[in-house]
Amino acid sequence: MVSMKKYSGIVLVFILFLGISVSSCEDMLDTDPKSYVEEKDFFKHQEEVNAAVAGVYTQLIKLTGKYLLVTELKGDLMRTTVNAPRYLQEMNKHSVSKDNPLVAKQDYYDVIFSCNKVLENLDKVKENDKDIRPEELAGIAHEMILVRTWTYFTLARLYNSVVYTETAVEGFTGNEPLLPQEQMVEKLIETLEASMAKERTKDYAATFSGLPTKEFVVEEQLYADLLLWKGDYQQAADVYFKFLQFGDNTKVNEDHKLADWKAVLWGGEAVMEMNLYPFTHNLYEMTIKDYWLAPADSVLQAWSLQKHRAGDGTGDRFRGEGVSFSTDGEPKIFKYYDPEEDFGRYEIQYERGAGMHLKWAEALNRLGEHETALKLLNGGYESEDPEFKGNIGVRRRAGLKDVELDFSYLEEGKVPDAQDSMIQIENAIIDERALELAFEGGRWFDLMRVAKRRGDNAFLADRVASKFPEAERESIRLLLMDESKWYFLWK
Amino acid sequence: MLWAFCFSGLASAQTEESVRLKQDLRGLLNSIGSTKQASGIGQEGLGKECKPSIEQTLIGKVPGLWVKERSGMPGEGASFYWRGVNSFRANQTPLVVVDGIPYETYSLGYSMVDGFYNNPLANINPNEVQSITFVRDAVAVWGSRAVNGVLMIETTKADKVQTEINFRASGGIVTAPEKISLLNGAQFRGLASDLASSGFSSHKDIEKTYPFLLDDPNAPLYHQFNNETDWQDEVFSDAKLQEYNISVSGGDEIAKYAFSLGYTNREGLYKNTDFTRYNINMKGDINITRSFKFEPNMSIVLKDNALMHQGLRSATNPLLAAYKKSPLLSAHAKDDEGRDLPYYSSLYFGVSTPTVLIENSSADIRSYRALASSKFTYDFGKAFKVNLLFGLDFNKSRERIFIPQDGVINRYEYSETGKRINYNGMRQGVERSLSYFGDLYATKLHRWGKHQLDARAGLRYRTVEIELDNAYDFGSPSDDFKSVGQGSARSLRRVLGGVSDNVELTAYGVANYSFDNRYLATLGLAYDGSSRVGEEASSYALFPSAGFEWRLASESFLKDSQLFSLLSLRTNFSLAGNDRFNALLGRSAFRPVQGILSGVIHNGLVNKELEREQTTNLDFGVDAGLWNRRINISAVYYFRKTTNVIVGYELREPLSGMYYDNGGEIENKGWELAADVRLLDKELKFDLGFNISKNENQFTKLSASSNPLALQHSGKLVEEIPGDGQVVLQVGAAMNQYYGYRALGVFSTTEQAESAGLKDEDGNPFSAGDMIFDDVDNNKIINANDMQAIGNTMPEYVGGAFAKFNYKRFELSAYCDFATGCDVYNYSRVISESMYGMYNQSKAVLRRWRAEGDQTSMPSATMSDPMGNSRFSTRWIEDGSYIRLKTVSLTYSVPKLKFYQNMKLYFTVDNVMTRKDYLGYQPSEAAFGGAGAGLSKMPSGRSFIIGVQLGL
Repeated sequence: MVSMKKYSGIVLVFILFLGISVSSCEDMLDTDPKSYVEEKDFFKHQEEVNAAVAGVYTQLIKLTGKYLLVTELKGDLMRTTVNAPRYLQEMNKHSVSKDNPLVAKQDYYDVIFSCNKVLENLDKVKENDKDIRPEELAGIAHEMILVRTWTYFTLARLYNSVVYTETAVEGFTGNEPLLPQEQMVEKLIETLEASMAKERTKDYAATFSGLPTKEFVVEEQLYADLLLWKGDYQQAADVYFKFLQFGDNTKVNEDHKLADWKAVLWGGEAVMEMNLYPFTHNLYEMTIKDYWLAPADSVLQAWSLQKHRAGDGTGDRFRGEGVSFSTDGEPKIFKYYDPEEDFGRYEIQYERGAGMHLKWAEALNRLGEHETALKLLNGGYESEDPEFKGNIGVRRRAGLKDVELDFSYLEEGKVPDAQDSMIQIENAIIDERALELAFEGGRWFDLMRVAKRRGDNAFLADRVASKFPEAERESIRLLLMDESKWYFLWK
Repeated sequence: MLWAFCFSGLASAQTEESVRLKQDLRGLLNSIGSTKQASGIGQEGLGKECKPSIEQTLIGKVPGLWVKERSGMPGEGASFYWRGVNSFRANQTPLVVVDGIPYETYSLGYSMVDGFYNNPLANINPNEVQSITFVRDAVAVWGSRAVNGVLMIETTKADKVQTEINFRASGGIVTAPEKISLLNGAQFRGLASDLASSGFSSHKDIEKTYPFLLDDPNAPLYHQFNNETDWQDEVFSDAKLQEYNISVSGGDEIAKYAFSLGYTNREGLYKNTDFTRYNINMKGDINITRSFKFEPNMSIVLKDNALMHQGLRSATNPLLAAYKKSPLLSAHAKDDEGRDLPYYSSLYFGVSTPTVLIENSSADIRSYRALASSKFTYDFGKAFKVNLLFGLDFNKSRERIFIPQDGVINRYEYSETGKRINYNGMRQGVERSLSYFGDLYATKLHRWGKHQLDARAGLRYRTVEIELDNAYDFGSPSDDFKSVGQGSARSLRRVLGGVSDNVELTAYGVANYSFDNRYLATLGLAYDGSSRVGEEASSYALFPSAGFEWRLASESFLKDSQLFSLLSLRTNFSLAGNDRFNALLGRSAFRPVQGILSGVIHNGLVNKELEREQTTNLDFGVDAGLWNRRINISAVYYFRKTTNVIVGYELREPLSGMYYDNGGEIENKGWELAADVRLLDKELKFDLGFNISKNENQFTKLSASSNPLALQHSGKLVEEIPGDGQVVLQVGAAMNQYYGYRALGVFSTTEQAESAGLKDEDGNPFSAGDMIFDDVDNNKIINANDMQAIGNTMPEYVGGAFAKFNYKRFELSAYCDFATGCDVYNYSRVISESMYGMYNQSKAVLRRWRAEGDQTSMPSATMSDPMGNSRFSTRWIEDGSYIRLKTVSLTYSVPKLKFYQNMKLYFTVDNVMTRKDYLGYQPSEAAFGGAGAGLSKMPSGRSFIIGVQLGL
């Protein structure tokens, strides 16, 4: 057995060597886990992009709920009651602490980074999936840009200066500078316009993935909003007009006057709408069951002072009592609740037809077209354009009398000039937004927009202060006269 | 020192050859590190205790191994920890190896039954186990999986030539522990009164909402609210157990076989709970040629668990429901005369009826396991052998759960139409795992002069694929329909699942050198591959180990010593890595997200270079055998440093999520001491032994992450634990300390409360009758900043002792175990003393504060506990130290008769008595991780077992 002795050592070493050489083969360790896909193996075909896009929208839904609560509580129409927990009270009083959950930026940047990741990987998809067409890729890119634009726009209006990045999370260095609000709006318009100019499939996600995302972020609405904020009124008015032209977008017409109030608030009029369940159920609990949030007295009073249009029944159709607020016991916010089913709603419309009409009126007003603006607000605008017809005006649709402009502040005998008209019409529009769109989100931004435009912080401060009891009014007013106090701290 | 139990057969022959063989085998055992076998663990000992799962027999027997039973639910078994806690994110359980094949425990065990761990080790029949060895330094052979020790289980071998038939039968009862003292009807009414007054301002309102407080016989539903039900009686019942095992072995020089069958049935202490196991094992040992041996091994197990939920919800957990349900209520509805109606009473006060849970809810798990392996050994001669061991391990568990609607508080949910409806619940699930294993190794023994070298080198490959499918359904037409698929609540249905795949690859080599049997040295190297480390980290790593032993007893100056028959000094060093953490921590990946839309989201910024955690272990030991091994002592001092510990860092705004980096360091040091002595060795033999170990644990360092976007920690990490508690990890302190408020007493008078002036987080003041919490930062506000470390979750000293008497045909043995230095979170007291709703409470609340001037440690009863008197504080933390007389066993060897070779009768009592301060059932029952918590799981009872063992 001498040979065996000689060989035994060799065999031993051989096995060890076999071990090491086999070990260096990385593939042996590759697993195929099916409950997650590693990024290096992802974005290889269209289905995967669709799944990622769906993921972005899921994160957006989470964000919209927060947006709703914040932009209403900071405004002048919604207030907290004594029952509300500390974090809501803070938001109401405009003195939020650092750990307030509504102030956390992570949810916003989750959406932004997710959009960026999809955008960064579209080239990879193009390489790997031969079937996907360039217009489809552009369509996906456009939707991601829309979602990202909406998120940045919201961030800019809540925080003033925020970090702007177009890279995915791995490209984030932490040294990015903060982009001030004005520059942010410019940048967003620029990026959006560039994307709109491309040849692309419209509503990619809705058409190709079957996702109900068509109304999540609507291009025209977002674009016009940006222009309105920037002050580019002509451009904004054009976009509003073009959008509202299309058949069903008009909505402020006879059909929508006669429809059930549910049609207005439950989707009939929606421009931007999302299924926010179970967040909407939380809203229902906050407004009805636990009664943490309540309508401010000022808006309740405004509804009660509405004057009916002669010969038009009871008026205030689909607004105010029984719709915006309940009437048994304490007035409660009703817009998040379906009283017939005794249940919180699923969807929230955070932009609808009537709102767009009023924004259009706002733009026209600023352009000096006071007549048209008033018509959109009151009794209806009949344009020469055959495409745009049937408009009955926001107030007439509600069965209410035309607004009376208030020139009482002028000296005796003085005739109101164009500037006076513009200011008063603008006030009327903003007041109408309160009556029509209370608690639907965005009120705070309406107040900010007008106050900034006029350089008149009192416009915002007075209105918000009015929702507080006498004792606290002055200190809130003083606080909000300082524009820097309008924003959450970035750090 | 080796108590080489499994080799005792060979050692008994006293020829030169066999002595040398014994030394060789010892050498070989040494090559896999210093082994420490649990004392007295052998086939007989294991079977007598009738424990459902094998690890439960190790309690208090292995020095340094802390074994904690999870609960008294048969089959849930015990978790074990060795040499302290050395990780947060990575799994720390010792590797379990059965007959040379790693036994999957890490990824299995998930169950849809609330609070139940489907213990994979319960698939092994303790009667099958021939020996258990806990190997401390097995890294050289088993690679980084062995970083926390290896539990080597050997089942009965086919190694006997003469035909042997063994039969064993045991039967017994398990008695339930003493009940918790709960309030009776009148006392409950008193508590309810206090709670109602605190919640309502007017008597009218109180009477309207709680009419039963009036005690008016003419009130409607009077009989509904005027009972004296002992709900614990509805839940508990004494249990029976029985076990039968038969094994046959035999063969000849060419082929030997061993075949066994076993049946175990053990009821749980709740009615309608049960554990049944059938197992069949077949082994062969075939010499195909003189050099070529083949050893097949097959094992099939069928296991049935009939369970009750043990989670924290009284909706489904009958024990919690029994604590909380008012004694005034009854299971069945009552008519006007107070007689039982045939249907269950409505659910008042929001607590499920325990009787319904016991009678109508079901949670059944059926598990199958098939293990098949083959070992081929080729002997090339000159002590050179090549072995190939390969096998597969298949596991499947099927669960079926039903939670009725009538008589049970269900999670009421909103249907599609928006109505609030109570639904019954059905759950069905399957967990399946398939693992392939292969180990190719060669061994060679080389001798020249006084030198000896024996070496082993090998390659090991293992894959594990696990699939989990769970379905939840709700709302079948009635409680008669219990299957998934019959529910009407379509929108509430949930289907979950997951598949995971892991691969382990290890190349290893170990060499033992000895000179003149006096100086021994070991050198080992393992080269490991892992599929779990970060994307860009190196998958392979090298783990060396080395050891040295000096056998003083073989030295010339001690060779003929009467005193020292054995004396060794040993030292061991090893470096091992731990990769048993979630692979997603270091990989950029997309995971499905659930919601209205079905999509994937990215897991954020990840550390692609996440590496294994590394443990360096250093041992110094002494083994001594005195007076011809009448006294044996073994002591070891150890020092373990774990570096690269994975810690989660919060990411800088505006990034979300956690970033994991290898930034932590943990140190464990301590010693293990075991000794046994044969005090008497005449006709009456008396053995006494004990083992004790000490562990000192410290979280030594928390470095900043290499990524600038990951925020540096404040040196403190707080983690949630079940039961609304927290544990904290602080640099410089022992890991996992309970973290909460310090309770200093109860405000006795309004004056006392006002002068203290303490307020809670929302600005509400603490008043008379409220708890006094320590205001650590002295700002008169009690909030999270006042939390501090309030207890240890890991013990300082752990151990056990035994005493054995042998007289003629009788043997009496007694085992003890103990632990000191650890605290326990008694969550069942939180349930039964918080007084925050119309729930029954324990009699302890009779001491509650009621009027100005009352001096007590129990606060007042206020509805919903608005001041948070029941928050996580020292009020619930108790001393978990105990010493327990675990098992006492009396065996009688019946005189030999013609028709049998040997027969033994035995009587065992298990869980005899415990000396403890803890107010709950058993301080030794773990709930999660390393922290003991008296969560409301089934307690262990006391067993009385008689049995017979027959060898033919």
